[in-house]
Amino acid sequence: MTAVVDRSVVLIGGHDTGKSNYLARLWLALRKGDGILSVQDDPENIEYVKSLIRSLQSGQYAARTSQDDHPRLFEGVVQAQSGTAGEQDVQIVVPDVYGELWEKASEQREISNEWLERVRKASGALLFVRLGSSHHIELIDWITSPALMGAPMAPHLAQKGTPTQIFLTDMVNFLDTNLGLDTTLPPRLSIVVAAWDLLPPEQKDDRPRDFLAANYPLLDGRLDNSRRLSVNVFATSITGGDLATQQHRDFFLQSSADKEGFVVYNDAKGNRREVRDLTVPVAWAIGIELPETD
Amino acid sequence: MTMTCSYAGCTAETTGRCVLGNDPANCPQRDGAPGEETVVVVDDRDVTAEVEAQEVEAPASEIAAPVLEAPIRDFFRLALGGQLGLRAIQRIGSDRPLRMIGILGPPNSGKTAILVSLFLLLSKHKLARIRFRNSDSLFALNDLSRGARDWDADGKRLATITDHTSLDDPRRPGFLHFRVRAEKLGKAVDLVFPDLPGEWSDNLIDKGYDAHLDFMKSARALWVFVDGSALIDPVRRQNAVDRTRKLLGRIASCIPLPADAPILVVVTRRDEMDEVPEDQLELIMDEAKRRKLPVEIILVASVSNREGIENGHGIEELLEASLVIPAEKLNDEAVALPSAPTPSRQMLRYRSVAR
Repeated sequence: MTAVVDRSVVLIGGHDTGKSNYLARLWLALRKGDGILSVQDDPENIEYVKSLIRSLQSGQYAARTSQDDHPRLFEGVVQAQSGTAGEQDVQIVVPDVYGELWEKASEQREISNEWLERVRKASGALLFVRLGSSHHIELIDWITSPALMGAPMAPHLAQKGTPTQIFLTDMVNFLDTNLGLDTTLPPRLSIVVAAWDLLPPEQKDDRPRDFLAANYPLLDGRLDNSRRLSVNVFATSITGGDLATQQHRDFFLQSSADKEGFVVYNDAKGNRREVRDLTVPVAWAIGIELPETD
Repeated sequence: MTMTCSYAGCTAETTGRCVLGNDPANCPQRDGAPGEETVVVVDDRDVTAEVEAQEVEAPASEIAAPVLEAPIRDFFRLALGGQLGLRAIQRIGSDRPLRMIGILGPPNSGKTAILVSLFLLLSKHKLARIRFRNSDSLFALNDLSRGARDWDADGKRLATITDHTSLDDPRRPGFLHFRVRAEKLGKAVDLVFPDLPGEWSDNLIDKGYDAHLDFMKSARALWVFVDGSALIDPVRRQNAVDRTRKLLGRIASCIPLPADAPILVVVTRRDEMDEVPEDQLELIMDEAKRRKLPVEIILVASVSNREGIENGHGIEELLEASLVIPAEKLNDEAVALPSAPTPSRQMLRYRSVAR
């Protein structure tokens, strides 16, 4: 029997950044079995994930995650197909929790020891940014937007919450200090830019890292300053298009949820790759090297 | 007695594990470790400038390390990300080279506004040659930018860009930290700026030097602010020039900076000038020459209401002028030397004779 390697991955991001929907799509990809990671047996605690999958299969994004601090653990043995290492069994644990937990941690400057321990024992993390999220908060832009100089500021000053760029940079600071601290593995951080399908057509061939540089300069700069983390950026679409548009929803329902969706990333040689394997961000985060362009 | 650690984010006191990977028994961050009592500001030449530590309580904005056994907490505290005190600067400086840029200037001369402007420009990738890398004051900068506008009932911008600076302890400076990558240096550099009330400069001029300004002697560059709108106001300009000249005098006699530390006179509110008041600037330069100070004048606009003067005008040039390449590294091929200034940029800058 092949020895099972233990890995855990934490999903981090504000609310409405697509963590739970990605988890559902990840499970579909694992079960489909044609990606880097696959699964043969149902993992434990599958009911939570199955409820997310049912939403997707009915043409809807998963509902808001329950707002308590208790993680829903997605845990099971997957087979990892790594080009040079062959196949190996990997026990992965993916705790999902509502995004407000991380936002609250950032605002209140404290996190429970339970979650700190999870992060320190994790081998990797996925940090989510979602295009088009209504909960995205901009930094007040009166310096760089002359037009804003003459605009009423009251709505902006009344805006509550930490600007998204600040939050993301803060999370990277937290992970750079704590991710994988209790393991012997070099920690890896997958930045997941979710809902890539919402980009205008002329931008969809952009590199995900270039998108970050243009839209999240603080985060982009921070990623070039990591002490301990290896970082990779993945753009994802879990459904291949926007289910809020009738046309795509009709198409999606005629197809199959485990067939639609894609991941865009740069391989080790810097070449842009677009693949249908939604396990890629997790595979990389747990230490598996991604295939390069043929 | 429980071992405690002053490094933000370390739980060695409860887990016995050092986040820096050091042996907790010998980690220099451990409270009571040797050398803790001096503030060491180290630049990339490994020249240390030691400032005598002040016996003060840790301010509320820092994580206070308990000295007695404490109950195990259920929550782990993250680094606050606010304004940094001298102890926090010490911690950063013990970990990596740090450059402090000193800031002096009267109230309402735009000292805080320029730091906010710098932060927002970095957040939008608006600087051509300087890129953000990190900040240990992320939340302090965010708070300053949010409190940065005062509007009247009609929605018209008022003259004051940022709230008046005040300190939790009126005798202890607060610092803002930036880590940026500067093309001029070819690498990332940690910068700290004291965010001081203008009254500190007024007191320096009117009452003389006070020991709580000792940290300024470690500055690798010094910014002296002048309200540009005062220089073009017939009622205010003589007093503005006079105060600036006196401040330069105090700097020459009381704040011995390293020989290669540039002194930049930062003339703010460039957007409010129809014409640059060169005659007033000459008076300031004359005083600099008389004091044998290596002064350069740079005109800036943290925010601009004038077409042709962009928001953040002059800030990138100001920062680059503050980043001195050590003489022994000028032959390093990896270091990018600044290009010759274009005619339009020369209008921004006035340079006195160097020491």
